[in-house]
Amino acid sequence: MAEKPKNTKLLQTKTKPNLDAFFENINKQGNIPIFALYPQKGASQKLTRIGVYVCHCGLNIAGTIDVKKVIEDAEKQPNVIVAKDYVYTCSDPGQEMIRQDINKHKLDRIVIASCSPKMHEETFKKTIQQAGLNPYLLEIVNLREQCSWCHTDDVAKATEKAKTLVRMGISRAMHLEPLERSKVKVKKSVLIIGGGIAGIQAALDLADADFKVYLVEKTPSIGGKMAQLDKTFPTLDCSACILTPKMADAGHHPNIKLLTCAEVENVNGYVGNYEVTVLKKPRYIDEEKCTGCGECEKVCPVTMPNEFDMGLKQRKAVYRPFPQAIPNAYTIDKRGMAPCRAACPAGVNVQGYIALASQKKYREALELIRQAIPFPAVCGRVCFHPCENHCERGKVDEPIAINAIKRFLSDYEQKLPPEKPHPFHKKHNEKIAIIGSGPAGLTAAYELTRKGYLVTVFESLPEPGGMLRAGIPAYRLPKDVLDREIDYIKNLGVKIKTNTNFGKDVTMDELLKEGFKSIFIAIGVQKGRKLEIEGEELNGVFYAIDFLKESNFGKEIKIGEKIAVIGGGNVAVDAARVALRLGAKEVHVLYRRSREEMPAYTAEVEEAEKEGIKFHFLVAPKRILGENGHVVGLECVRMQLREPDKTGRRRPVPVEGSDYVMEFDTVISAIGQSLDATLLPDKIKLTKMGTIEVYSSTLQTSIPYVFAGGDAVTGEATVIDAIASGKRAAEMIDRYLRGEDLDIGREEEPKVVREVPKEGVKPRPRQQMPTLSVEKRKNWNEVELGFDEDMVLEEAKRCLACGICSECLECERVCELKVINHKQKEERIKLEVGSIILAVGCNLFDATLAPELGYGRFGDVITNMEFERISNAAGPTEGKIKSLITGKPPKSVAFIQCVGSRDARFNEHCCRVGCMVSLKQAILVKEKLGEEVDVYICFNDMRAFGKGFEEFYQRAREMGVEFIHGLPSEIRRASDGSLYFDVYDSGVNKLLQVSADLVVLATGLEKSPDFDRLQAVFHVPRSRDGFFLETHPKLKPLDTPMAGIFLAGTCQGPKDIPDTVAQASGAAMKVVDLLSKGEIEIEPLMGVVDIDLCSGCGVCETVCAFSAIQMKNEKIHDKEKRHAEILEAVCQGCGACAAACPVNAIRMKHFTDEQILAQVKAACS
Amino acid sequence: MKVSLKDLMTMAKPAAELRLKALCKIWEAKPINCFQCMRCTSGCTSLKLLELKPHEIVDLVKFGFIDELLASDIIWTCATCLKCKERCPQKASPYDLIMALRNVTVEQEAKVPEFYMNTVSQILETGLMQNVQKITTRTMEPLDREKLGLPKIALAGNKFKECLMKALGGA
Repeated sequence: MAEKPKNTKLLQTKTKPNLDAFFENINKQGNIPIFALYPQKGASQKLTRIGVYVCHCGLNIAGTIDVKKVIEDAEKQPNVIVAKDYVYTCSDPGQEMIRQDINKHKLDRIVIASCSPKMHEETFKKTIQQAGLNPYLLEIVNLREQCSWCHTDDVAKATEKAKTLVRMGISRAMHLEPLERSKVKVKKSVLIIGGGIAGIQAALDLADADFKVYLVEKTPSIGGKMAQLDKTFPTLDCSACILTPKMADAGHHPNIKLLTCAEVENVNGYVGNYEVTVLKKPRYIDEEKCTGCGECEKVCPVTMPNEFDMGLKQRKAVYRPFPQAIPNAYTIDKRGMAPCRAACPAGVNVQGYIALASQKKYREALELIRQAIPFPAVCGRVCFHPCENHCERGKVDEPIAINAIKRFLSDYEQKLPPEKPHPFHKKHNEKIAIIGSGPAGLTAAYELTRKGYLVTVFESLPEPGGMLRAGIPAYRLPKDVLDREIDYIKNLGVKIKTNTNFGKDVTMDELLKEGFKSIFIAIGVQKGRKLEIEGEELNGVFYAIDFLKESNFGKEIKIGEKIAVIGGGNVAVDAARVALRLGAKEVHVLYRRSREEMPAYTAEVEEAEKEGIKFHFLVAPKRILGENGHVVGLECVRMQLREPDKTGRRRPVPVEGSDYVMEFDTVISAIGQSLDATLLPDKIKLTKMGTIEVYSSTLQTSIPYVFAGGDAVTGEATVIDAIASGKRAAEMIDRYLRGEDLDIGREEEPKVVREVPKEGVKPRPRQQMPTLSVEKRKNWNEVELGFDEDMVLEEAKRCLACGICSECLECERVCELKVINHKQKEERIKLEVGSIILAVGCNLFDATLAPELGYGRFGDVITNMEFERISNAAGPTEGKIKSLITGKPPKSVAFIQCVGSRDARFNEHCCRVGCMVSLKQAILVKEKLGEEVDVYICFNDMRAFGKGFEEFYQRAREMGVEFIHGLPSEIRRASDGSLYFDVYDSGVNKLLQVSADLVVLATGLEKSPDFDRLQAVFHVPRSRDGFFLETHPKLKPLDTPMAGIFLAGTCQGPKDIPDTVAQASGAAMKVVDLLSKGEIEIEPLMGVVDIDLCSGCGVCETVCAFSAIQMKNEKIHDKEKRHAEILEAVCQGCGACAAACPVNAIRMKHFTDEQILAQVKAACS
Repeated sequence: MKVSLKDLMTMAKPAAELRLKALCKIWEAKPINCFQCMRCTSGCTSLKLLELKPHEIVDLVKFGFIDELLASDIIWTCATCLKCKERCPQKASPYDLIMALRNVTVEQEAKVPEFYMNTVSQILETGLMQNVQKITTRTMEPLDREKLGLPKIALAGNKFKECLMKALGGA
């Protein structure tokens, strides 16, 4: 029985509305003569013979309503042949009375005034059908819920209202039409969502009954929460022992298809014929072929807290939640691409090599870097590391010293016996020429060789390396380091021709004649930009780039003692530091903006200052002063900064009259370089900036087979940008030569991790790069000394593993069956099923929301579920109950009940398992640690309602578990770190203080955050507590209002394992009942479209919540006509379309306008 | 045992030994099973006892707060009507516990209240627990055997005293 509503006063209408006048008015208005338009199909104006039955419902109705008076009134109504009352009309004698009357009085309409039609409409439909009447010729008047129960305080008025309600029913009954149910075929397959014990049980039951079952589970394994439990109450049998055989059965059953790591995305169709789209997320491992050998897990360098163990134990990024998982396959956990890797222009897998370095797998780490770039040692020294700027660790304390780790890896290799890389085999016949052996050119050569092309690099200088050799001084990048990297590239099979000037020693035409099919121009920018001031031609004026080149090639350069370097970039700083090493006494760097605007790396500037170089800011040269053709000084002017220019830096403006003179004997101009285009073929177009013009996406120049990249295209940029450019050029040249489209089919944008959890990450300082002391620097020795192994390991530990899986590919290497595929994509699977069971389970209350209980603050405050893992032999403590902080077994354990349950702040409902769970765990503590351990359960009500539960409770009491009838207000921590709390016990009538080494919170079961999404997909309503709502709490506990969708387990409400299993079997039976006949009857309560009236506007299609309306074009009377069509099986009869139709072309069967208006008229007369 | 518990109202700690002593004196009843339904207190015939209710006495013993019970004269107020024992749903029997506590008190040589000793000497002398010539009902109505026309109660003779002393194991 439904709950009785509280008394509500009868509404009093002062004046009765004149409805006849209202109807007349509407008809007169004429523009839309609604009722005239209405087709009178089947509308029966003929006399009907109506039987009226008023049910007492014991005293539920008769206690408030004078039933006899209602009968008397009904008898007077037109067409009423019989009017009777009966105590329990729904009983068999009551039904028999109706059946007899139908036969005796030839009744053709029946009105039954009783309880809600939700209760017994179906019953009475069958009753009149048995007597030969069409079941739709029945009208139920709801006297109980809508009259007697809500008006117990006013019998007279309640009786009047009942009379009116019955009159309304009689009026409608006159217009009822006989309807026929149609039949549709159903699919004998079932979708079960949720692989917990409910889903498993329902799946097994249905599979055994020969239905095809699709079991969808969002995690990598079925088993659900039950798999996490140690023991089960009240029998104390091992949860795994009773669950895992069932899991295995479900995994092997020929009728069950497991879809793990999957979620239902969309559901269409209708009962018996649902079309379901399941999104199967990638496991990155072939689930069919993986044998679960675990080799991958051993080598995986990334560790994570294991969700299965409530985060109390670690797992790897490639993992299996627990050893008995079904399917017994591993899964790779990927959150996305780590920000460091995404920030690297060349896409070096930073997280990967750091993870490998942390495992001392230095060679593998280096190999991983070489998958992306050929210059680990160079980059490890000179890269300006955008990766570190994006390092998430920087949000905790400081970024990881990524570059230093990379450098260590290459240094480490050098110490090992040299290992030559195997040359790559030629796969393609096309030869490719690369002009320039800088980072861009060599990277392109490296990539193309690895792709199987024959590559020749042409270099104008005597030695290869481009700016890496000519521009970067040896104290930053020792020549032997560079030589080694280039040798590596040469060993792969790249030919390098030095002393060969493109355009002079070899021309483009010659290259083409020699059979080169594509040319990559990466000549860089090598011409120093002029100062454009007086005195630039004097002796003692150098251009930094030439100055560095000559010094790097070991040529003797005569410089003076007092040097001015003009510029603020890295080249300026390099030139200054080189000048110092060449014997200059004083070196001054003059920059026209301030320190903040300086493009040079801060670290380099700092080192330069340490070495004694002086920096002058907001100074610009005006004139170089000379005597006898040699520099003697510089006339400078002070600058001031104005609003920012296009580059975002503030624009410097001279301060008038601030001119002054500084004495110098050498001036080095380092204000930038430009492309020397003199030797380039004329056909290659240049930009206004003087760089080579390319299509930005393809790097193609104005000549299709000629590509360009690096500084020659971008102007001076960084090494890593040049490398990235070379990589892309290689990809494009490959595509060009393979005849593929250069634009489409690019790698899709990787999903970059944005949010990385940082809770509990303790600050740890970044390792500082050791450097050569300043006194020892008057030479070309490397200034930065590099990390030692301990520093690298310490630093690698700081990595937060943002992407989780680092894609280091170690697992791929060790997997013998080759079942790992890091590029696996998610897939969408379409299923056709007849019925659906929702068994998605629920959530555990997050105890941090009740901070007074100390969870999350005090390590020894844990939840019931954490206790399960601690108590489990496979858990973090191997089943030994002990403090996770001290590691000692507790001497006193306190359980706090109703955490997050029966609490208006969180959930008002009872979690229904907390009492029994804590009793079980209290018994386990006593059993495992002995009787002398104090165990307290602080409770409010002890709910031990199930079979064997009370006995279990008694067992706990007999074992000496102390029950404190009262809940503590808060858990405190004493100064010695021990936990205690005050609690008032209503038994002893005392305020007690309990000290506990372990406090266990009985966190309740609550709605899952997934429910919102699931509700949107399945349209199943939910109750106030957030759980899915059954159709009727007593009579239809497994059904939902969506025909063919059933509920099982805790998604319907908190319940224990016995109840869950029972409900799952029940839901399975419901499905069998629905689908076993192969076809089902469909209620005829649906809309019907009058095609003649339909204007084809499509409004109905937009308002239909069930996609039951389609717009259709059809030839009618030789005319093309667009009209709505209602799919009978899909229509739920809600009536939204009929209400929305602007021309009244849609008519609702069983709820026609005339039926409803007749009711309205009766109500108002 | 129970070092983890403290009574914040008296600052007492549970007395494990005394608790065990008391519980050992109980044969069938299981005070530890008490789940605080308070049926014993609802039916207690000793109004005075309600100052420290039977269910509280059971709970105090469960927790081990024995000292205050031994020091109190409340356990001596029980009229030993046995209703609590008869009706306890968990066979916790506050009566048995109270008897055990009385025995522990005597063992400890703690003070037994005067009124109880008076009753004892009265029984020894007269064979009766109390002088029932005049009583007051629970609705405070005074009653007198004589006014009600009831005969005087006969006092016990020497034979009774001999039997009693024998039963008590005395001389």
